Amino acid sequence: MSKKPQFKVFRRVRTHLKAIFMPSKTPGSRYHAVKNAVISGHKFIVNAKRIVTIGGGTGTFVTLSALKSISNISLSAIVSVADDGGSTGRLRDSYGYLPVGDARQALVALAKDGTLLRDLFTYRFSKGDIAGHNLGNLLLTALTDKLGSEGAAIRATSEILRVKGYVVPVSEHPATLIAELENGEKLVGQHTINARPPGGTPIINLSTKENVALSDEAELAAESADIIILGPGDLYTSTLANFAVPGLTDAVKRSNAKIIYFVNLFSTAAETPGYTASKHVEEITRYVGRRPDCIVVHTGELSEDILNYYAGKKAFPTIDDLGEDETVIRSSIADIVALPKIEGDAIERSIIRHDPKKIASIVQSFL
Amino acid sequence: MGESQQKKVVTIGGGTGTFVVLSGLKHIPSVSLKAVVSVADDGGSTGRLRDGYGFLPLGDARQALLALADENGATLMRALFNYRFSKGDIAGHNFGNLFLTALTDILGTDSEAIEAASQILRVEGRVVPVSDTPATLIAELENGESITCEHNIDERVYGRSPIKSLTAETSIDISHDAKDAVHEADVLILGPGDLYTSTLANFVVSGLSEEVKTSKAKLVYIMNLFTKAGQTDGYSAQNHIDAIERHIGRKPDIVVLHTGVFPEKILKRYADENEFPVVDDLPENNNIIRGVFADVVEAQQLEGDTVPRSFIRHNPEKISEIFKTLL
Repeated sequence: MSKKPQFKVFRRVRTHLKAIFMPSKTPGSRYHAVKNAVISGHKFIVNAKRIVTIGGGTGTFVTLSALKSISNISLSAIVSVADDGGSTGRLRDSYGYLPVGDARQALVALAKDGTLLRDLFTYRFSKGDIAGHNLGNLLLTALTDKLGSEGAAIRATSEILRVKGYVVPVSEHPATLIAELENGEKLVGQHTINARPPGGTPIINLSTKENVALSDEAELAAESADIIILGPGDLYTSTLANFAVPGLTDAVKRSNAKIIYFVNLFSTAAETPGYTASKHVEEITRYVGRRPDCIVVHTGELSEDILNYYAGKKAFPTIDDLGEDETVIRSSIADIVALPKIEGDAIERSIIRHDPKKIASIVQSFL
Repeated sequence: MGESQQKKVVTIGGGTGTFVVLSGLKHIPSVSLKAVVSVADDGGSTGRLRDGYGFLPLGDARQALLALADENGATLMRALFNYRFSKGDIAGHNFGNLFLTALTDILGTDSEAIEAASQILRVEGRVVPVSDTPATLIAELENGESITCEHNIDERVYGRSPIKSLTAETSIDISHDAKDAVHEADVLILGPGDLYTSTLANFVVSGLSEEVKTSKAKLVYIMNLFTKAGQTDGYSAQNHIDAIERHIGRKPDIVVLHTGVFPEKILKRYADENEFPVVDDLPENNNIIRGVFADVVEAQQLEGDTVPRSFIRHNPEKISEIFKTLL
């Protein structure tokens, strides 16, 4: 590690101590915090780089799938707690637990490949009164009820799925996103924001309805990160939804991490209509508190088919207007994925993705 | 213990009664266990999944899997297999049932799903659905009426006209695995459990009665402790055995009969449901094993029950003691 100022180490130790000794902690979470501190100490000694993704949804899934192949790193995924659509939304409404969808996708991404349990975890019911529900979501809900906390449920699932790395909800409490629009309107709820019809005015501010706080684990992960990865993924409802939780921006600021931002391939009607690459970066900078150290933009043609498909959904390729800038990496990093609409899934999944191998090689160049 | 020295014990049933027997017998090292389970369940969580998917109803298989699961391993998965959701649109669904449905869909067949679940739960022994096709039960009553569907027959309608015969709506065949299991068995165990909807529900499958009739295995029947409203109202021990003989065509070789006295409080609780201790009217002979085989257990019967209620259940250890001497 080239520079690792002393104060940062102390701060980390302090956060570990807080996680262990805070009176509000349960024996289970205390045990975990001690274990975490030991692993953390070990990683510090062997100098494993700490890579932290902040996001949620499919974009983060792709990034994590890419990163888990890199050895000798410590990987944490900070995930949003604002999901309120689909299977997650239905469970959230009735149980009031942390919404599980984003954590589930991150767990699957980091799970050992090719196991039956992993397939089960991603299974979505398509028939009967449970149509649309995802078995992974149901498992996390049942475990949360059984074990008493979402954190314990995620840790238990991590063991069952043999997950590499840590999945860390940004807060211990569910959040409801509020997007303020330029015309003064407010959209409430991630699903509402994500699914709003084309033609709306731009989002000028993102906040949460509840007064939620950053979780200790997320704070620790963010401020001790060597590399923080943002995007790809829905700009507001996946990536920046995390920064709507007070405290994350400061924690990122305190870290000396390099921030790598993967600009989305497409601008969507619901969230980023007409957003160019520099507009994306501007928004990221505004919420994160500083400009990413590295911005990755896709270059290269996309096929007519793909363009038509997205145009039909009022989504268009993000225009690269970043100009001459040494912090910008331009590369052909997109890959077409045949992804038929999953039966039973009410939410549409897109069909062009960042290529995990290319993501991995870009991140590796920073290690 | 070599496989050849092991006694092959096969239970035929479903539900809680079979669960108790299996949990007891799995601790006998000289026993290799198979559980033939009913495919007629159509109520509750299983029924909802059956309606949606049309897969084999695996509610009975789930309970048998749990009974045979390693008690020292896979703690979390065992707990989950028994977990029932209590809120929202999934209220009433059982996680184990959902898990088995997803497995069946992913792997393609219910037997592969059971096999996979057996590995995950570290099951010793095998769980074998009596047929590869779901069954819909029809009970013909003595008054000429008939009742369709397991969950309707299962309803506690006290004083309903007695059940004359039990059949399947459409003819379905015994599965190969169930046929092999019965064919190779040294001991066959029926009961305890709802006489018609758990035990005899298996025998609506064509081929099972023939297999049991011609089997050289000892046929053991563990007598129910109480009558069940709507199914066995007024049944004495002899009536139970007659019903079995009527449907299977063979008398049990050995009958296990509980003879203890029940606490007043328990009797009242059952009497409130119009359920009464099965009266022992069997002859005194060596084929009737009498003794104290049941216990009062505390259990939560219904979701939302805050006070655990007391039930009478056969005690798995006492059941396994009987078989240790029988084998």
